[in-house]
Amino acid sequence: MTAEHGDAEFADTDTYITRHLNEAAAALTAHSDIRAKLRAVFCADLQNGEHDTNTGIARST
Amino acid sequence: LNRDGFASFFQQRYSSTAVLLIAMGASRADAEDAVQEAMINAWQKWETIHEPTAWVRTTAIRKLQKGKRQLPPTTALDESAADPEGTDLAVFSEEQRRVLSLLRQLPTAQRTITALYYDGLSAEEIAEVTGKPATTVRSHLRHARRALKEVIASEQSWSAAPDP
Repeated sequence: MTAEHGDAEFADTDTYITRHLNEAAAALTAHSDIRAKLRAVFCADLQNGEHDTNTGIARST
Repeated sequence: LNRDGFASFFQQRYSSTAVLLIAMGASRADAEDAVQEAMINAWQKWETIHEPTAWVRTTAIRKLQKGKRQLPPTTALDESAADPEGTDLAVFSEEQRRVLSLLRQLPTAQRTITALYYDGLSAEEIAEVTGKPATTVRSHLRHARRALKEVIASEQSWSAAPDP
């Protein structure tokens, strides 16, 4: 919490907007295949080619 | 490498960083691409990154601002060039889209600063990210929040008004 975030004049506005942005992030998480996106991050990093026996995805070290 | 630590971070920050970029005016597709690329870079350097939230945020913003991912001067949700049919943000509720629209319609100078503020940054941190003086950041924040407060109050009084 910063001085700006504690500004009483805009407290209701801040709460309203923050709540809806948090809910928007949750909606995006629910809609997106986050696990697939995470696997894609690991798959993009294959240059060292070590194999991860848990996921079947090669990984760098 | 700390795979579990990165996975936990990814799940916590992927969507909120994408929403930050959408609030700054990006299409959902461009926002998600920029975050994904920033996350790949973060994983490649994971052991050397001390503040991953700030690192990914800054990297994603830079990626968004490069090349074709230019942020438009002011973007109403129904005017997105990347999504003329308005389906890009259909994942969000009407109220969530309305709040995103309010942020996206702020003047350019205020929009990025305000989006960063609602991502939890202080005026000093925003000054560091944007390269603007903290006093300028505070001034833009004050003007933007005042405008947002007035619009939200106006909308809520309309919705609360009894039918004639």
